[in-house]
Amino acid sequence: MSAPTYEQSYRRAFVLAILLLGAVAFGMGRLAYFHFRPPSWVPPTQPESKRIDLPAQRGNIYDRNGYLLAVATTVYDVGANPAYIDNKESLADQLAPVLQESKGKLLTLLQSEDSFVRLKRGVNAQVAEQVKVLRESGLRVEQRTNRYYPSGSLMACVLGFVREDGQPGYGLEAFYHDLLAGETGHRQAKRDPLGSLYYDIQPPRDGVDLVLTMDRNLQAFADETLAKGVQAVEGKQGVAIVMEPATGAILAMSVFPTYDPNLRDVVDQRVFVNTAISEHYEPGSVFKTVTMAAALDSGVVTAQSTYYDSGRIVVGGETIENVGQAAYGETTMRGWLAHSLNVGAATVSTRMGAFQFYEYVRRFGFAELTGVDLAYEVPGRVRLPGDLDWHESDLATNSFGQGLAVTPLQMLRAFAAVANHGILMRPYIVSRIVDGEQITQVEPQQLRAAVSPQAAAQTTEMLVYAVDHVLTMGQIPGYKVAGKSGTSQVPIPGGYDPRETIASFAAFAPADDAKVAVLVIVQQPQKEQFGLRAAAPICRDILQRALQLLAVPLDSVRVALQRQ
Amino acid sequence: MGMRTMVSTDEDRVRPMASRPVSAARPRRTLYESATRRSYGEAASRSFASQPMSGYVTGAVVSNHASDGIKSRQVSGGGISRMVANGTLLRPATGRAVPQVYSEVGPWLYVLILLVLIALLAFFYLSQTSHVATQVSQMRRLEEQVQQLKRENNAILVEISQYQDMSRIQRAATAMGLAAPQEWEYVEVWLNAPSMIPGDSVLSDTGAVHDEGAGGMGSTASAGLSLPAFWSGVLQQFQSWVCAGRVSGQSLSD
Repeated sequence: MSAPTYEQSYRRAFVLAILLLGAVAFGMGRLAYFHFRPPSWVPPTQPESKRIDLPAQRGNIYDRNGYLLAVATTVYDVGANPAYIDNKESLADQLAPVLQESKGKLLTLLQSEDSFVRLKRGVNAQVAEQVKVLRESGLRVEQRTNRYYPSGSLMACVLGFVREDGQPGYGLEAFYHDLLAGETGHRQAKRDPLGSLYYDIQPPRDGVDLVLTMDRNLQAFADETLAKGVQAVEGKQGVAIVMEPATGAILAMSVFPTYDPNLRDVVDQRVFVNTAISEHYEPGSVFKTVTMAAALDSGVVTAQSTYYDSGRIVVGGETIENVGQAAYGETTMRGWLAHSLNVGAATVSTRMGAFQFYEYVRRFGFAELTGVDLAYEVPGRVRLPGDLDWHESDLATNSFGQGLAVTPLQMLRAFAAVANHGILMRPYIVSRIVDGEQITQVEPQQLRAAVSPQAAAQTTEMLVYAVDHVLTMGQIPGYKVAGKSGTSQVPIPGGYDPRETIASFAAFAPADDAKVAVLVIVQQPQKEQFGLRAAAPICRDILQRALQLLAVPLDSVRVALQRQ
Repeated sequence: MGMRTMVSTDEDRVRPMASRPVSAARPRRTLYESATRRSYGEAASRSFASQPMSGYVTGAVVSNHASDGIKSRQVSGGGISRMVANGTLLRPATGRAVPQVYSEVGPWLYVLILLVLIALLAFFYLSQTSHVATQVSQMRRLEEQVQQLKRENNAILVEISQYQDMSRIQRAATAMGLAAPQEWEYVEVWLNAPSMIPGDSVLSDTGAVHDEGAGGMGSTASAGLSLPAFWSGVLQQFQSWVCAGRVSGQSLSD
């Protein structure tokens, strides 16, 4: 093989040079091409200066059976710039059936002098598409995220709502806002010190889903029953709470009147307030349950103890009387509880003394937050010895539920503690927090033993006796029910309203193995003043349906099964 | 020891390096040295043939070697013989005269290499930038897809919830001629709990609860019922209650 000549080498070098130059030219040409002829996808203009937020999707809320209660949806707002619309009448004609608005209303808006008018908010994707098809340059269709509550007003007081600006209002939406909202991500183009492009990317973290302890079917029934019951006695407001005594799980929470969180078109915004946790009332005779359990637990009285009921008792200079100023003579403990005698309650509380009595009031969780996972809970108010406004007579009036302010949930929790062998539970509404694959189970939380199991059992027997013999409207066929009615006066400046009352009824069943506890309150009923007539029927119906939905066997079946 | 290089070629015309000692005062130069000097006119009049031992090596930089340990061996290929010393190319592949070709392209090579480097840098920069931009573009597209899928998923959830709406169900039930019950009767079905494991025996090993006063329905129960057998028993008892109007348990509406 011969070596290349000079000419050959030169030629080769020349060719190599040409090739290299060609490669360089090609590279430069491509650079120029990409510079002057960008590809089909358009890169962001001046990406360095733009931080793009990547919104996280708000989590959904489900009931205990997986029914959807709240969901993030995409809706569209249709607006128009009237100055850019030529034939307004024709456009109004076309838009009216699509937006389901009257032509006149749309025409008025389109003829406005404003630079921008909102034609309709929150339409769905199909409607938005129909509007876009019109290809009218003056029309604007803007997409936004919306919170939708498929069941409307169902559980509105519990769920709360989310405003257009994404801020929560009340309920679970407010309490779990940080978890539900997730974390907004971002994407931002940056350059390193050498000028190379890179992206700072933080992906969004979607909000968690919440699974509630509440039952949609029971809630619907409670809503309906409460509304009918309150309207039947011409009450102003009503509250119904259903709780599982053993766990503190809230099964239903109804407030009347209520609202549709999708619309929130209410006259009085106070309807947004969940009166079950955010407003307090004087519980009246339902509170005697607490007094009795405390007296039995403290040993001041026994289930067999008696006292002489003269119809009145003077405590701290104040005279306490039974309703109707009736006197019952020698009376047993279960007797005064069944007949709801104020004198009996005051007698027991004065025997206990202020220190012991208020210690039990504290143990039952009054004047403190229950810890329920809802926003804007209030602790209530109980005057204690040592407070400037406490009076010795408060010991007597408090014993039958007057002169103290509690929330309905506090009252039901205390009542359920009697059903739960004296154990006070923390009420809760969210049972599971689902974050993608990670599921956090919320466990029931015992707070303290309010009274001993023996005292709780004796009190339960007395409550059963009350329902069986006096408060018969609370009876449910097939189940042994423990219940107590309450009728309290409405405080007004300087005293109590002589005409208005707050009627309430609390019950749980089955009495010896309570699965459900219910409290119903009817504010200022006009047709029936007393808890037994105004609230007990509502409470009974809700309790019965709850037992059915939870498949709680009849007492006879349960006892037979336990004997096996 | 003076500098010397073992040279061997495949042609006799070129003398071996060993037979031609190189002056220590005249170190061999690299291709680049030569090119540089040539550019300054130093070697302009010198022909390559007249200085065959200038230490040029084809296409590679060769430094002066003062070591005796250089062993040469001949490697031939591509028409050009190359000297390899300890694995390094050392000197011209051929002793044949290749006059000034490298000197001629020297300045061009600088330019070429510079251009190539620029082109490479530009290419890498463009490649990286376009790669990042493409990835972000893909990411954005995927994000939009995810968002779209989430929207569709939620829309389906809403649709499902609308079908599950209680008022809708009530309307549908009413249209079917159903009505809400005004009173309830409880039928007690006396059967042991079934085995939840196929082929397994019944969970409870106790006998059936037998309510003689209720019509002896419990007599049908027996241990070891499978799930289908359990439901069959339940349906049988329920059917007998419906057909005969006979309530096995306690009628609570009475």
